[in-house]
Amino acid sequence: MNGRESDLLLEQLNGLRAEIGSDFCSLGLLEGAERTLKWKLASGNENERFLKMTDRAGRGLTGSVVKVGRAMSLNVAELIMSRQLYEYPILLAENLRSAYAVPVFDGHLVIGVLLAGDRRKRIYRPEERKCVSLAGERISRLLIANSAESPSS
Amino acid sequence: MSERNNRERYPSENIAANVQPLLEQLNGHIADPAFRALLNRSLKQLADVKFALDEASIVAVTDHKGIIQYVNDKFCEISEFSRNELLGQDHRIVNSGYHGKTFMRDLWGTISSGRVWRGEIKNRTKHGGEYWVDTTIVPFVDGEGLPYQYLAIRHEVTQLKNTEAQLQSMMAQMMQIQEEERRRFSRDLHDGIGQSLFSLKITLDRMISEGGDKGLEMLGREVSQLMAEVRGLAWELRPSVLDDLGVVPALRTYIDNYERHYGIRIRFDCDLRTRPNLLVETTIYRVVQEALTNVGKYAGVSEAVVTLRDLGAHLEAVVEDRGIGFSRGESGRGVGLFSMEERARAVSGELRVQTEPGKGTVISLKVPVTAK
Repeated sequence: MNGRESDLLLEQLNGLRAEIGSDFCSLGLLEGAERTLKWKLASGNENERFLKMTDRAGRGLTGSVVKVGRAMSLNVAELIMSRQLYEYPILLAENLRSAYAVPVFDGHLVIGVLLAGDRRKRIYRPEERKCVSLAGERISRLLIANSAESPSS
Repeated sequence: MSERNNRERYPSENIAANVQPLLEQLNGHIADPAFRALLNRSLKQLADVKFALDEASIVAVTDHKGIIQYVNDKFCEISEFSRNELLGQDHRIVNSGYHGKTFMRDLWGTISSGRVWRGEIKNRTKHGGEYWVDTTIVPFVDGEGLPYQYLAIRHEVTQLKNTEAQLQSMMAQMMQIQEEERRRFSRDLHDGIGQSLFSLKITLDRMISEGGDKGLEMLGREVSQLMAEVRGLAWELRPSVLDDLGVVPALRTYIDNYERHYGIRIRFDCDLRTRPNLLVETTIYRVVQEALTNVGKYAGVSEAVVTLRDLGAHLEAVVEDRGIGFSRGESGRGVGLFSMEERARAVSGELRVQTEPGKGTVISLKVPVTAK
């Protein structure tokens, strides 16, 4: 990801955050043969821990949004009840209470995850969910255009 | 000299021993009928309270030196001594030798300075049986605050203590069974499904190299992912490296994964040269794992320190963070701490938690090397 590309993507994250009024927004991409999810960019973050995180194979968002290719609502209270919170370290690191995550596609293949989150309990309304999905599509177009421009990266 | 005066002013007598004769003589000595009635009532009440106490509890009275002056029937019954055998002796007659010198010194220090002592004591009967009593010792003090008599009220809790011990041994067994199950599942996953997936991958790779299509490559990638998942599951259940290479390499791998998962940097200091026995290794591994999970979930920090020290007769593992800390009894964290304490106890170790809201958390585990 070059400088200009990450600027454009960050613009998308800032834009989405303003649009739906959420506290936090982050983009994760799948890397390597084992397609591990790594967080690349964030807006509204409290610290830099997300940059060092790797999702575990088959767990957390990798086991849900990436595997199934569908959007997903996350609620920390429910995750605590089902003892799965530790699978979502980004929620812990950023103190989020609620989040909504959508897959980012290249064709039919999931290449990343876009996550919008809040540090309070929040239910995302259908129009807000739509906003996240649309931002995901814009981000996917940016990523594809960029990889076409510089196939070596 | 002054001590003798005190003793004389406050002769140690059995509780309410004089109540009955006093009640009988009341009529001849007190002229004022209202005052007499009042005194009568008070004395009667005192006698009733003593009766109730004797019915409910094991009671003993000693003088300031600890010489037994009074025991009730319950004391005789549980200790299997007759009253005559007990009177004039001190409590060493029922001492089981279970409690150390510091315990006894603490007890005497408390009551001889006029404060109430509470605790559980293991005693021995005349015929060698043992029993536990929940004990309250109340010093009766004179005008200068010096104890002239001690009243000990006890309740038998032998069954409670036995159940407690059984519960603890059960917990220890449960945890060991859990580890064994985890080891088996982990191995089955790794050697069974893991191996099958591996040979599937090899077959796929061969088909691809012989000119397979794009779909096959996709399938190959999915199998790789599946292999990673199975490996991860097996490792999470119980890393085989813990059995094969020991706690230090196991912790190194755990910390590597932990850092990547939570984005928290861990400094790992270790001066362990030899491998302790497997039970100790498992305990250290699980306690550090639990403590670090708490750091990841609650501490709100981006770094923490894990230390493993060889102290000769003991091994010490410390997990330290400068995060938000907590006050004990806060809900939610109880379970993790409890299981760490139980694990420590199962290898006759000791777990200490130092924390305060806003001041970080230090969890230290000390385990004797010679643990069974």
